[in-house]
Amino acid sequence: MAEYTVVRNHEEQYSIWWTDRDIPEGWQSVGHTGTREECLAHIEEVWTDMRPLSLRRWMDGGGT
Amino acid sequence: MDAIQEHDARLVVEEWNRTELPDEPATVTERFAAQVARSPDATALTDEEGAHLTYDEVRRAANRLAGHLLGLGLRREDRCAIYQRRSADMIVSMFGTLAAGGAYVPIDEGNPPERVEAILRDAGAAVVLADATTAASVPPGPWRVVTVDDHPGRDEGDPAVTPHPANLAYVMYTSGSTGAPKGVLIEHRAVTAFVRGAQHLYGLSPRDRFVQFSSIAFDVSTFDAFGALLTGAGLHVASGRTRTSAERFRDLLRERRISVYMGTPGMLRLLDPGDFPDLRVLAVGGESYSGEFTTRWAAGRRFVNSYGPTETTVGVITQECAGRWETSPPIGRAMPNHRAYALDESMRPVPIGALGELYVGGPGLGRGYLGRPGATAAAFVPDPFAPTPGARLYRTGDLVRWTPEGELVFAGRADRQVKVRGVRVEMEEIEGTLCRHPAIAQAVVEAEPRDDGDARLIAYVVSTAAGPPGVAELRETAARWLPAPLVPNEFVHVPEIPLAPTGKVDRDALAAARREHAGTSTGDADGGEWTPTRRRVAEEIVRPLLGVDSVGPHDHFFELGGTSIQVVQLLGRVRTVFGIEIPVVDFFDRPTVAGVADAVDSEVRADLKDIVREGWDEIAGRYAAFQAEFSDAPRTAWTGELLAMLPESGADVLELGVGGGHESSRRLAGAHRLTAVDISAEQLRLAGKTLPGATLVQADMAELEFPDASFDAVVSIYTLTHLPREELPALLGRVTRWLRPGGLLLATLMTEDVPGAVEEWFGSTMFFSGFRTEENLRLLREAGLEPEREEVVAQRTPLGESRFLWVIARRTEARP
Repeated sequence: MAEYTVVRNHEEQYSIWWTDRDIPEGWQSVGHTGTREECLAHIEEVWTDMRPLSLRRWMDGGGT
Repeated sequence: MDAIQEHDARLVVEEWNRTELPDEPATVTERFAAQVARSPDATALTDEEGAHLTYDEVRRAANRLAGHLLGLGLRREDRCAIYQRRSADMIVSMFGTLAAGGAYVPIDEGNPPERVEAILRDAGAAVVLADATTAASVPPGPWRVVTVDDHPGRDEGDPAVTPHPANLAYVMYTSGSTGAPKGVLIEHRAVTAFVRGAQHLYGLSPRDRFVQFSSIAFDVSTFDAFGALLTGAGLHVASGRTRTSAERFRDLLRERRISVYMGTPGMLRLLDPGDFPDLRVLAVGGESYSGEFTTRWAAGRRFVNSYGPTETTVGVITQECAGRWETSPPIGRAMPNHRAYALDESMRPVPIGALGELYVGGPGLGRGYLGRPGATAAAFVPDPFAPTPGARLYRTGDLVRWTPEGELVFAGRADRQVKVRGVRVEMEEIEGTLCRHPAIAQAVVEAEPRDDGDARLIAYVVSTAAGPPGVAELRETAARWLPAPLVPNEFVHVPEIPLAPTGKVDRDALAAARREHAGTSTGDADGGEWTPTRRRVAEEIVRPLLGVDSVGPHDHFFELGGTSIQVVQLLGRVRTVFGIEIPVVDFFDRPTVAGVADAVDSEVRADLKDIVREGWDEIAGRYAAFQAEFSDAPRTAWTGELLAMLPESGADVLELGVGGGHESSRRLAGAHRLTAVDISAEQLRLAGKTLPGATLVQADMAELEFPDASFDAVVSIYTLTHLPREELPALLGRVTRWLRPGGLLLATLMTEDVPGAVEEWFGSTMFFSGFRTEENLRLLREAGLEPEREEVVAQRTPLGESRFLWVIARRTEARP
């Protein structure tokens, strides 16, 4: 039963939200749904760099 | 749950969350640099070792350390553990790490070594900042160890790296539900946002004087270090010694005229609020406390109830507490620029007055948990009410309700986390630790709340086929891995963990099992739990003080009716009875007979080391008087036995603790080549006269080494009985190495049934403890020494009759 969906914000931070409810503004589904545990397990796989996206870009650009 | 009215929803979501305060994301380093520019010569940092640093001196010291770290190859966001004694240098290490672009990982110097290692490994520490006190106990690993007393680094200029406001500032470890501590990632901008809010809320100014009193591993240290040094105020670092005594803490607050203090209520309960006219701001949190406590401390100063999990950077919800309080104060409203919601299980606002789970949003939110993306996603969730899109909320797991006035009231936990003496505890972490014991198959830990807001931990354990381990052994296992407050107060053996029809643990059935086991799980019936020190603490201190008929080793002091005033009396009695002081924090960690006795034993050990260093010769006279009252016939008899087992002459014999040279030593020196060791120079001078030809070595057993020795015999009469018994196995191992294969050890060991593990010997305290005979013999065998003759002899001592194990054992095999 797909109760939850994996969501991600503009900083590429991951979380989960209920499939049957509007996703809060600024968050998008990444297309993965399942139970709470399945969604969290998926995030454990795909969220390999927990730095916010803007910081990653700044650091990759040399960070000054 | 009642549907919330639209009007109320607007109230709880919007009106009660209007907290805007102008602020920009910033770094700790830039805000500190700005402060240095404003007042370079103002006093920034002092400690109890005499350090006194101005703002510019802190900047230069931090830059030198940063330069050194960068020279070692430290990269942005690399973790630098701070594992130092409590001093100004410890705070400099925080600033130095940040200046190098790194994130510090604060570790309390008092943590057990296994936990230190677990944190260093989980954090992936690149560097450990240690000092002369801690360097020797840094566990080996892939990290570089930097000893800060050497003041490494030369360049005092600002390093070339500049952190980003979103870069990590520190990683702080909290109890984790997976059975291991988890690291909370806190960014620079969260720290500066918190400090900005605190400056506004508490009216902090450069005239303020802060004290760094909490453990560096708690995030109150964030308030102390950055609340002070990003404001232009002074920070005084309390030493480990000051932290252990209410009197010393009181004197420090007065002498240093401390004006701002944030902490838990524990120590304050022992103090008189009238003693501190300079203390203008007091923020108390970490656990709940009574209205009476609040009223007492709020008089004449700003008193704030401060709430905040580590994940949200120190404090996020606060309540001003002026005037009189009949009940425990609410936790209040969100700090500037933060939001707080009470939500149901679908994250919808609950009606005013109804119970909901507390969610917090704002710039103080951490990045997540180091290396745990799943746990991060579960705890940091989308904020459906946020004014800024894409914002997150931290799900605290705390239950709260709104008062009609718009103040949040704390109402317990939604999960299995509890607070014990201000420390967050996840039951799963304790359960996981207990299961490390090979004989434990399963463990469930329950917290029993107590009236004063604290909790008592009860562990239910199922043992493997190997049979149930003793309570002392379980407690030892827990204490090896966990900080003291997380060690269960009580252990109950159960055949299996009962499950309810839902498949969940049946807590009622567990509680019933505990009642059934009452008296056998802990307490008087468990004979092995009564060490001599515990017996003395119970009989001479706790029972008379509380006027109770009986007390078990793990009965809680406050549950027996003890009060704060009686804590002070108890600590005074400990001083009278044992001649030493125990840290008041140790008492609060384990307010039981067992806790006090263990603290006494560990202080005595430290005390003994001081005697060894400083004043052995002064007490030698009293030692001699003690010896005179000792019935010492076995010494002559057993030395005769040994001589009969040795060749007639020419053997190499080592005698440990030779004293002034007894008749028995003279017989050994007469026939053989004797190496005589004693700790006292005075005794050795005497021995030099009575033992002609003997080689004299002045040393403490702990420091003694004979790397290439091959003695035919080692004699240790009473020497090993003076040492803490847990050191015995290691010492026996060393003695074995000094013997040639087939060589003989003559030793006296203490048997367990001696009145008083710690006794008043010659004005100070001394060990007088040991193992049961079978255990002593087993330890000898494990060290590679096969007992050949043994006898337990009752002897008269000034302390009454004691039983000693006399033994001659032979080194059985060649050891590597």
